Amino acid sequence: MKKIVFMGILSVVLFAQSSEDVARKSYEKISGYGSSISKTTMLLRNAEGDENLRKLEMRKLEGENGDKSLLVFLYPNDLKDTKLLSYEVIGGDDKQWLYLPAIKRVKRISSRNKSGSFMASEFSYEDISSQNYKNYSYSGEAHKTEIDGIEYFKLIRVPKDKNSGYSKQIVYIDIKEYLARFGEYFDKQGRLLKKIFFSDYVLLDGVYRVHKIVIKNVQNKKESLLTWDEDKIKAGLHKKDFSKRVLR
Amino acid sequence: MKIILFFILLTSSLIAYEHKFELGVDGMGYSKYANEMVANGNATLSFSNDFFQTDAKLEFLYSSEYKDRRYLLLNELYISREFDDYEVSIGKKIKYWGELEGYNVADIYNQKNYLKDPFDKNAKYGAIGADITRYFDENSLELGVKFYEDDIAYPQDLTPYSPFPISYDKKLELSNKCYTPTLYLNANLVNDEYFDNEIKMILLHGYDTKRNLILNSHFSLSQYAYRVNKALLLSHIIYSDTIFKTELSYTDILDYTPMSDYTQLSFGVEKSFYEISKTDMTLYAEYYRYIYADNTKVKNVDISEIYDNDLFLAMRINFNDVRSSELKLGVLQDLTKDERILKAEANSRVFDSFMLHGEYLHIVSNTANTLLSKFDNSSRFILGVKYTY
Repeated sequence: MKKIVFMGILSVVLFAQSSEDVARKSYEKISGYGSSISKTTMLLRNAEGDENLRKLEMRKLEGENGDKSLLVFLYPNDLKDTKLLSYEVIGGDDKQWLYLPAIKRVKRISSRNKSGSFMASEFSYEDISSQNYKNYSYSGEAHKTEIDGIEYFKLIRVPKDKNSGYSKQIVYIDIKEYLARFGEYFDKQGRLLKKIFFSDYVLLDGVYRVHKIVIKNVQNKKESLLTWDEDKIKAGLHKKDFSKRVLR
Repeated sequence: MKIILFFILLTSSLIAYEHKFELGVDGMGYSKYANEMVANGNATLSFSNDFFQTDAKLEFLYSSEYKDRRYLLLNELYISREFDDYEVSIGKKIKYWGELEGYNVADIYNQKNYLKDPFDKNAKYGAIGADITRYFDENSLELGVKFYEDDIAYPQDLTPYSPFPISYDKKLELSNKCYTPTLYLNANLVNDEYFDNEIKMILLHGYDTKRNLILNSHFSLSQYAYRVNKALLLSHIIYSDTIFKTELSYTDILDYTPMSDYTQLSFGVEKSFYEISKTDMTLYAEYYRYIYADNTKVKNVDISEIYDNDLFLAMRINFNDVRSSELKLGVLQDLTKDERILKAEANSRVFDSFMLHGEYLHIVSNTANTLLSKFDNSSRFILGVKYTY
């Protein structure tokens, strides 16, 4: 009996995983794409059910100290060719430039507005930017929980960026694939603000790519749905494809 | 015809094509002049193949009331090509050199389009030239040339857009030939060692975009273009969510003695506040100043400029709604003279492809013999819609 208890304790010690380990493994599942070119559609739905469409092209480049991204707005037409170039800086303020095609102006913008609405959707910029696990702090072990017969790791993570719009996020990661499936994001006052659902994962060249994200704001009853219409990874993009020269 | 043939030749092997059309109708009301309905629009076309990219922009304006505010203009047509770290382009092009919001001391590549709107700093004519840019990671070095100085039209009718007391002749008078080139060197440097900042330094030799006004042989006013050496410095520094901006210029007049050498200074600060009742608000404060080397000579501010010892205060509210609704309020206050311009603008999208916009502009000028006094104390109202395809 003592032996069984000892083995049980040993297995918990050996096989329990810290939240950060799980977050890192989950991030590794979606990392390694090198660079990507994606075309996406965003559906905005208000509390009355009225819908609006947004379309944008996303170009991304993985980097050691943060990813670089170029978002090209495609629809509505009046926003067409507006571009947002972002350099993620892990542990610091990102850098962002906005290109306004009507006046051919490249404008440096403050990147502190991470919590504001992105394209009038329920997504904030931090929701759609890199989900690098290093941007969050974790504590303790990852707890297993079962929902609708499926086992998940339940992680509680706190954004390191003081400009984040969230006080904490609870993310559920499936224990088989280590992919984030859904989560709950809490506002600065600690109230539940948004529920987020990640689905339609596709395995491309050994890298998992999420192709559908639904975010529901439980406070204003609005929701937004982001779907990937086209997605190409290891797209052969280089650092120069994310320099300011592309803003024209 | 030659331009069209040239264009067809360039695009004969195109492999990609993009376009964007904008068509607008504005009702414009004036407190001192006849009202007008204005149709305006533009077509932006972009072609590319394995060798180069061609961009073109066609603009039109049609006023129901003022004949001179009617034109069809190929405002941009240029080809460009990238070679690794280099990019070259040639043709008619609009560039933006500036940091500040209200007025740009350094935005001197293009002439302003006064027919379209003298109160819109982005209404500009394309300039014919060529440039080559070398990119070094975040930094770049551009060498460019403008080949030609074009005639500049003003409305001849009595309109809110014509400040001249006598007739105006659009034929440009020059200190040299209209084909005498203007050269510039533009260095863009990024530095984030101590502060997150960017600096742009521009050296220019050739025609100044500022002009004198002279009485020509037909007893009409003409613009007189003179050559200068000019040094420009633009910079911005980001600190927290505040952006500090500077635009400076020094101009040495080369071949026109009536005009004084001059320095222009401008400073600005932009501060954003996010999520105030779900809206974002940005505040702007800017200051513009001229300093003349010889106060006995002709000054730009006497003939064609209003931005001397002026303070610009503005606010932009972004409502973060699906209509991209936006409200902009601004005042330009002359700190020396009793002159100010107040402007309010609002935009909101309807049915995805239509943008509604409204504007109110009010000019207060209680000082005699200034440029603004030619417009008198007056107001302008605009209500319009723009369709984008």
